[in-house]
Amino acid sequence: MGILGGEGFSLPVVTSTEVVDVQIEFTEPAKRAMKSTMGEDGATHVVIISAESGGCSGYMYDMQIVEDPNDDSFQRLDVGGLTVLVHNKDSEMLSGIRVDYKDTLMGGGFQIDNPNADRSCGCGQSFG
Amino acid sequence: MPPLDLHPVAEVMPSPCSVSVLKGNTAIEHLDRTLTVKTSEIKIGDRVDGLLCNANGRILDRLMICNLGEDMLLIGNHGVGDDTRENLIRGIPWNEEIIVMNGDAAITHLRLVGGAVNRCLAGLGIDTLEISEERWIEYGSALISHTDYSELSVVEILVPTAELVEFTALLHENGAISPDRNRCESLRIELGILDYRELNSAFLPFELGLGHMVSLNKGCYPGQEIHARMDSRGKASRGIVRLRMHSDVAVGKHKVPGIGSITVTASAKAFEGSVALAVVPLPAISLEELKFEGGLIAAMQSL
Repeated sequence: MGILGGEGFSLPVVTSTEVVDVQIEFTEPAKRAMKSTMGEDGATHVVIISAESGGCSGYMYDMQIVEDPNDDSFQRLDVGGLTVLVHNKDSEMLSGIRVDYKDTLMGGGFQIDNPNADRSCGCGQSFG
Repeated sequence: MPPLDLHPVAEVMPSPCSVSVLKGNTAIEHLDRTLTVKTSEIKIGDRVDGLLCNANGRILDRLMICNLGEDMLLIGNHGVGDDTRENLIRGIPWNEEIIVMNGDAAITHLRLVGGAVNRCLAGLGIDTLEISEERWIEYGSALISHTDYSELSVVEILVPTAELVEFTALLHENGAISPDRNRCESLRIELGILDYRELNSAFLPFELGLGHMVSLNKGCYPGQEIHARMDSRGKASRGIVRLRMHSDVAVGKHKVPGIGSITVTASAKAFEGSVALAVVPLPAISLEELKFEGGLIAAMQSL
């Protein structure tokens, strides 16, 4: 479709993001659950905690176990021998969070309490 | 209510808008996470209209989306493009490469309304039977679709701004005229076309009759909890109506004895007086007329 072929489009839009030194508190149950989930991958893999748009409140938390990207855009935290990464772009939103783990059938799993959030949704997976 | 006063052929109304382009393999998924409607199944050439809302469920922008293949074209409200783009950029996940571009100056949105729009478009070689509400068709570099309102179908045209003069001249050659600003506004009000005056954070989608732009089964998006609660607990407390009066009414909040506060979002001179759009308390919607403080009487009509 040729509608984008003309002039008048900008270069990619960028927004400025404040980068702060990330501090995250992990409860003992959260540390145990991460270690258990990582298993033997702990030496080569990392946990990335991030925020993306969506959820009821504007942003959703995401936790992924991935091979260490060795990327300077991330801040590295040592959590009981495991490496947790937070991308600089998410640092302002996620610094100060407390990660807990609840071993329950309903609504269990990792829970994040975020002091930066003005609000969070009922299921606790998103914040704004 | 008097019949709609239409030009015998067509009137071309410029519709001020913002234009954004999303590039990237996951642009569709990103929109799906962010908007009130499901975009995950949008095919090339498809049109989907959705809302960007805040966590309180209030409207931040209304987006007319076109899937252009590698790019997603977003036509939004006039004046809020920068906020919408920032909103979209801030939520891009670390592992997705999505580029957002500003095209506010690149594309112009026109609406074509009239008694013989088909004849006007046929003169350009466009088969109006091919124009639908769910798809964009190409005409040169322009894209054409239509939107059905309660009174009439309105043709939506997106044209590169560089080609606007040439394109408008073609429409004029085929019988269309370009009305003045007041006529554009009165037509917009008569047809119930909502724009940035209504589609903003003062209102919730259900208050403006936009329930069709809210998907209650697609999963979470900003505002979803509020929308779901409104749906399950009995909808909105206000609704939008058209007012018709013998004299002007100012845009803004007004007190109506016995009703409470109403918000007039737009007003324009029309045949034998003026027309306006207003958001009124729900119990008042079924009334035939409103009497403003000061005595002005307005006939009321639902959109």
